[in-house]
Amino acid sequence: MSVTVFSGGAGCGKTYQLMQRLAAIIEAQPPKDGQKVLALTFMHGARRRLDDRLASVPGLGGRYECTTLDSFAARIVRRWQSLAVQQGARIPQETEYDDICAVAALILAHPEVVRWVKASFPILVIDEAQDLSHSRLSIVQCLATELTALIAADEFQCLNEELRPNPAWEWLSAQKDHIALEQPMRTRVASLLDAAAAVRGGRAVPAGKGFTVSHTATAPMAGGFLNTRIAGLKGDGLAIITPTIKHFAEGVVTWSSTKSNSRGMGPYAIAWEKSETRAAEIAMEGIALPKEATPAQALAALHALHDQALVREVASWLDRLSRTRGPTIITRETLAERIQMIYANRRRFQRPLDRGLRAMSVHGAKNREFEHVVVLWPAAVAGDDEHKRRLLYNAITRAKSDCLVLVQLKQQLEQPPFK
Amino acid sequence: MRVADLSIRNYRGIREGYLRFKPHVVLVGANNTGKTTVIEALTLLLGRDRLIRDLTEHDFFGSDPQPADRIQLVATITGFEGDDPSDHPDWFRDGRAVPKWWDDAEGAVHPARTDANWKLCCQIGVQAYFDRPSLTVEVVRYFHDHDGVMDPFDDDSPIGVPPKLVQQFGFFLVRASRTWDRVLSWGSELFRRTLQAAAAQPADAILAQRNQLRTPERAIEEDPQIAPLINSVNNEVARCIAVSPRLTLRVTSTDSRSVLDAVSPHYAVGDAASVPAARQGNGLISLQGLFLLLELGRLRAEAGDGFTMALEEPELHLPPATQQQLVLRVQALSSQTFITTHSPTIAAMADPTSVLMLRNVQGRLSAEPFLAKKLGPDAANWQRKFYQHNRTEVIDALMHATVLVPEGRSDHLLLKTVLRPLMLHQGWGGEHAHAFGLEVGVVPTEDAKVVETTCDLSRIHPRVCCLVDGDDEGQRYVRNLAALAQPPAVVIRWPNGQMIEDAVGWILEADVASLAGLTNDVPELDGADIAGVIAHMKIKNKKCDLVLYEAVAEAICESAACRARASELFQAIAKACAGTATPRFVHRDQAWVFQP
Repeated sequence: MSVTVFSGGAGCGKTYQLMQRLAAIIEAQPPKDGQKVLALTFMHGARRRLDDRLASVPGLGGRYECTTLDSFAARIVRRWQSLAVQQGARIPQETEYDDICAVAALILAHPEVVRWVKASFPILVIDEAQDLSHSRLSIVQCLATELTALIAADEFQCLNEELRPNPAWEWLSAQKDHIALEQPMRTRVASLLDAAAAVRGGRAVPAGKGFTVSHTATAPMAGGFLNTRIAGLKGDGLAIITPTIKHFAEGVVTWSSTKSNSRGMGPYAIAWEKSETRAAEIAMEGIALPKEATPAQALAALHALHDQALVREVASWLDRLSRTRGPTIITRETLAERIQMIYANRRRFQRPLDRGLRAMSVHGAKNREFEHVVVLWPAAVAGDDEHKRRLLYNAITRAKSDCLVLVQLKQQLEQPPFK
Repeated sequence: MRVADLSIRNYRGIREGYLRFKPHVVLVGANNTGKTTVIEALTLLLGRDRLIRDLTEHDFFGSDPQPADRIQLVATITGFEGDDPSDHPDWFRDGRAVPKWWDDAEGAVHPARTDANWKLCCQIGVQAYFDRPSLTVEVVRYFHDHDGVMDPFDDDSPIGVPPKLVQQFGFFLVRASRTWDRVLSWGSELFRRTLQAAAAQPADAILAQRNQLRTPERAIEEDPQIAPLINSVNNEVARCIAVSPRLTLRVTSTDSRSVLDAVSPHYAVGDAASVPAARQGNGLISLQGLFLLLELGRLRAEAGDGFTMALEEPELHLPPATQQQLVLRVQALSSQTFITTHSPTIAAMADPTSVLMLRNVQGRLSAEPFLAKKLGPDAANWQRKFYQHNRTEVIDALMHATVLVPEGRSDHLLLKTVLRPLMLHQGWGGEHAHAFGLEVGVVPTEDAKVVETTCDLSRIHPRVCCLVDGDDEGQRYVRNLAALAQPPAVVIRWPNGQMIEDAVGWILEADVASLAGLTNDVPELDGADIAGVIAHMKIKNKKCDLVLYEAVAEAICESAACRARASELFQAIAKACAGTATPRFVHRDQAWVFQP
């Protein structure tokens, strides 16, 4: 058991270093039969990317399991349920993620459970550890008592205000084997590096070739800018990133998707990346379902969404239900839950596209890279100055070639995070 | 490794059942209680796929399963050396079983160890449902993590039990319907696995046989009878094709595979020609088959692998003389054995605490050990005799639907002695005594412990009846029996002041001439009348006198009138045991009283 920490700003090669170290460990001490590396992430999108990185670690072969922390916690709770019950815990629903993690932490406080995990997973890999909440951190700490833990983190990229001061960071800072990386490698564009350093340091953000900040008061104005920017692309991907998906950002994207600017540029088809919860909500809004429907009624209602793949998956679920349980009644809630699960599964197995024209939240852009980035900064951004700096830092550090920031209010330019 | 307990739901004739197992289990019970079902449940849980029969609707309780009706089986596996899960990563790790702790004293499974006596265990489950659209039964075998709500057919598919672990456990089953004559050949998996375990593939001999078959000393096609025909075919073909192959005739396809397939076991006695096993009597073949199985067990034990044997009704496979030796050998070689039997002899071979008496009341299966706890040094004499020395007879009686506890050992002996020749005398028409022998089993009660024995047997048998004398003591027994927490189903009593010997007198009265034979055989009875015979039988040192009893039985059987009375009496006792009135027994003061 040992903990190795890799820390540093966006693009300093934390994940790269971590994989190098992993390769060295694997070479020195190859996993035994049936043993694998356990890699835990936060969201399904991140899981897919970490999966790709692990796939290229020499010597590892397929001997790793990449999963989200929440599904790992759910598995611990499911399998050790009788121990949890004996400890007096209530078994939470599978969608009560925080509660599940708390119960998992309670179970993993038993050394024999950690050893049980270790027998399968002697090595633990965690990226973006700054996002660990208290109970999730407890899970990692318990695992680290027995497993060899390789952890990458950047405290400044934590976007959860409740995690300030950052509990994971406190723990990670205290680890002896702590490698601080300072040299950004993600881009050679000096203006992007300077801007990121300024935001992080709380200084005025300098503009330069490749990094521009402009004031666009209305959605049509910003849309016009955006269309010009898109027209200048040579087939590269562009990401539109915003801290808040509300009127301004939605307005801009809708304008760009439906109108052309004064120079005849546009409209451009831009797709919003939505969370599976939101996607399921939108889907449910499009369905007319009686309060208690038969499986056949539920399936018929689903056709309104024109998503044949979804219909097929729901149909196979309903079929299994009626085979194993007999006649079943489908409520709106159970159907919504199932649709959300199907969307989540899709995300689990699909690679998020880093090409094309895509619009997303800062959270959705985490840990990803795009050639070109346009940041939409609306008038109202929640959180204190520190939080806004973190949001802006996260957004602009996604760009490899250039980044354009469109600010809704002029006075924002004189305030943090821009000053 | 061994199975510590098993719970069964909805499987075949068992709606619900729970059993706890010692290392060497003998399952005893009336027909249709579910002995075989228990073995089949263990096979579903622990057997290799080849052992598992395809399930159908009839494997579900009630035979008409709805989607939510599941067969649910859970077994607790214990006996992991050292009781440390870290030493058994094949069994206990993420992706395999969750370690749990077995309390053998209480028969409970705990999620964490708080008592050093608890043993490491894991639980394996099987669920099955009948898939109506496809008319097939879907089965899943998985690690059973907890008893909470869980559907293994739902999305969160449970962790399956890998075949490697099933193989490690090593569950072997010899079914009652086993045919042995194919066991000693390469067509039999048992044979192949034993060869593999022993690294005993006779490759050189097989290759030599193959080569002989390829180049025989006297080739068939060269036989003068057939050679002209073959040659003319060869010549005709040669005219059509430039380089034509010659036709030869060989035994088998001359590769080692077909040599193996063609091997069939023979028996040789002395210098006589070998006879194929299929033409042999069954006894020898099954013995050889079983010894082959034991050899596999020995090899597995040497390699540190598990070997668990389930043997259905070994009395069917084994000649009586070899039963005891074989059963003991099986038990010595196996980490655990499960034997079902209808033979009291075989049941009596096992430790009386390992003999499980199965009861099935409307689908609810319970299993109680024949003797709950090993008899300590303070155990009473009658207990020792009853549970140790006479247990073959006791178990025999318990295998009947009704068990009758007479007041003393002489009643048991006399009833049995008279019944035996009576049944031999029966033609197709006479079914009277027959019913008694089939339905009622009589135990050899020791020391007149009729109340204590009844109390003990009520724990393991659903229908216990008593037979007491008509004296004061007998009437006191009637009152004490009625006052028991679990009183006997029926108490039968001889008339006031009478006992079984009086009933025998009543039988003899039917034909006074029958006395002549009796008085000839027994010198002491010379010239005695019926009252004299009764009095003689009641003399203390003549009780349990087998010679006397057999003479009485013979006298009864030789007279048609006596036989009729005896049959009537036996039938009336059987009816009384069932709670049915006859002219011979009327219910009075908590007991059925005999009316001579």
